[in-house]
Amino acid sequence: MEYKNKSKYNFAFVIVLITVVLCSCFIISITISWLTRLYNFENNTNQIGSIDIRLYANGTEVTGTYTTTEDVTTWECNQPYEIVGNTNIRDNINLTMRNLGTIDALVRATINIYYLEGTNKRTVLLSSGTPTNKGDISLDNAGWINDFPSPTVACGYVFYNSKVQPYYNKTLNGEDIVSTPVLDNEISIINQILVSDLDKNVTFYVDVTLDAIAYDGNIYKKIENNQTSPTDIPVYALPFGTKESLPELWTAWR
Amino acid sequence: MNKNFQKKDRSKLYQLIGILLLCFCLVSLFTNTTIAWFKDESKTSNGEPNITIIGTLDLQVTTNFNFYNLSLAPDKIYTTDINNSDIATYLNTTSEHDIVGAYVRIKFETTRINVGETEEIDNKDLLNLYFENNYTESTVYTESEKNKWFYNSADDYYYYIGGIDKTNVMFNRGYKTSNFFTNVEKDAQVYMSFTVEAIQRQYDAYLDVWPTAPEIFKSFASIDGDINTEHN
Repeated sequence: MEYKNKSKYNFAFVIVLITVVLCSCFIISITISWLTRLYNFENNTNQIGSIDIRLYANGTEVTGTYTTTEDVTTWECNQPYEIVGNTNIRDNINLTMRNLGTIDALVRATINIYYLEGTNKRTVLLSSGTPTNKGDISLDNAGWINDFPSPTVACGYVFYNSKVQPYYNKTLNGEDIVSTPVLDNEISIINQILVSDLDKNVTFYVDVTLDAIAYDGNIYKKIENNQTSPTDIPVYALPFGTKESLPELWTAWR
Repeated sequence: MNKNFQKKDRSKLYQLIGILLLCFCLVSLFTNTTIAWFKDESKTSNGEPNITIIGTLDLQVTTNFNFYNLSLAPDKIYTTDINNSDIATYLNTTSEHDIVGAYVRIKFETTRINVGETEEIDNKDLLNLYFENNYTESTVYTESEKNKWFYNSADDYYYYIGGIDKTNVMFNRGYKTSNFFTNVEKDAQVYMSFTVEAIQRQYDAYLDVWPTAPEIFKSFASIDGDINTEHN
C-alpha cells in the first residue's frame, strides 16, 4: 500500500516537474519581448553635383570640344561665331552660355574678337567711346570683368562676375523628377558691339573658350577665409591662376 | 480485479489533468505580469510591488532629403530645401504613445554609385550629418550632456542622451558636404537612409536590446531609469 502511494506521488511529481520546465521555457520567451519600434527612411533621388557649360548661338548649341584638367572643365568652340550686319550697332549677337550641370559654377572665358583681312585675323581694338577707326569697336559685355593683357585689345580673359546657376531646375513631383528651364540663367557673353562707319559691312568673328569650376568650396574663397594656406597649394591647383593675378573687380568667387 | 485496475487508471488520469490545469493557470498568471514581476524593484508605500501594464510605444519622425536641385555641391552646409523649408530631422512621441517616453538611437547610412560603375561605395567621405548645438563628443555623462546626441563608432549609431517625449527633439540640423568632390564622382547617384530604433525607458530594456550602447548613454539611462522607477 505504502509502495503504491509512493509510486503515485512519484508519478505526479514527474508530471509537475515536466510541466514546470516546459512552462519556464514559455515564460522566458515572453520575458525578453520589450516594447521597441523600428522606423526606416530612404532616399535615392539626389546626385553628386556637376557643372557643364555650353555655348549657344541664337538658342542653338554651338559645337565644341570638352577637356577636363584637374577638375577644371574647358569648352572650346570648333568654329568662330560670326557677327554679321550692315549697321554700326550689332546688337543681335545672341551668343550665350548655359550651365547644364546641377550646381553653381564660376566661369572664365577666353575671347578673341577679330575680323579678316584676306586670311589674316586682325584682333579689334577697344574704344571707350564711339569708334571711328577701322578695326575699332566698343564692347558691351555687361556682367563680365575684362582682364585683357592690353586693355585696348579685345583678346584675353573675361570673368563672369556672378556664379552661373544651373539652367535646369530639378524638383520632385511625387516620385518623378521634373526639370524646368530657368531662362534667367542663360547668360549673354557679348550683348552688343558698336563698330565704326568704316566697318559697317564688315563681318566680325568671336573665338570663345569657356573654363568652369564649382562655385562652392572654390579655392579662392578658402584662401580668403584662411581655410587653407596659399603656400600649401601647388600652382596647378589654382584654376584661374594665383589669387593675386585675379582681376580686382572680379568678386564672384566670394 | 479488472474494474479495480481501471478505476486506478482513471484516477491517475484525473490527477494528471488536474495538475496540468493548475500549471496552465499559473502560466497564464505569469504571462500577464512577468515583465513587471522580474524587473520592477520599487515598492509602493504599503509594501506591495508596483505592477506596470506595458502600453504603446509610438514615435513620429519627420525628415526631408530634398536638396537644392536634387544635387550636392562641395563644401556646403544644407539646412533648407529648394523652397527654403527646414530639412532638419525631428522626433517626438505621438498621442498613441502612452508609456513614459522612449530612448532612441539612429543610424545614418549613405552610399553612392559613380557614373559608369555598378559598385555601391560608402559616401561619408563626401556627405555627412550636420549638427548645431545638440551634439556631444564627450564619453562621460554629466548633466550638461543631457539632451544631446552622441555618435558611437562601435556600432555606427547616434544615441540620444535623453528621453523622447511629446516635445519635438531635433536630430540633425541638416547635412554637410566635404570638399573632396572630383570629376570622378560627378553625377554619381546618392543613397541615404535613416534607421530609427526606439525602446521603452523602463526596466533597463536597453541593456538587453542595445548591448553595444556607449557608456555615456548607459550612465545616463541608469540614472534616468532610477528616476522613472521612483515616479511610477
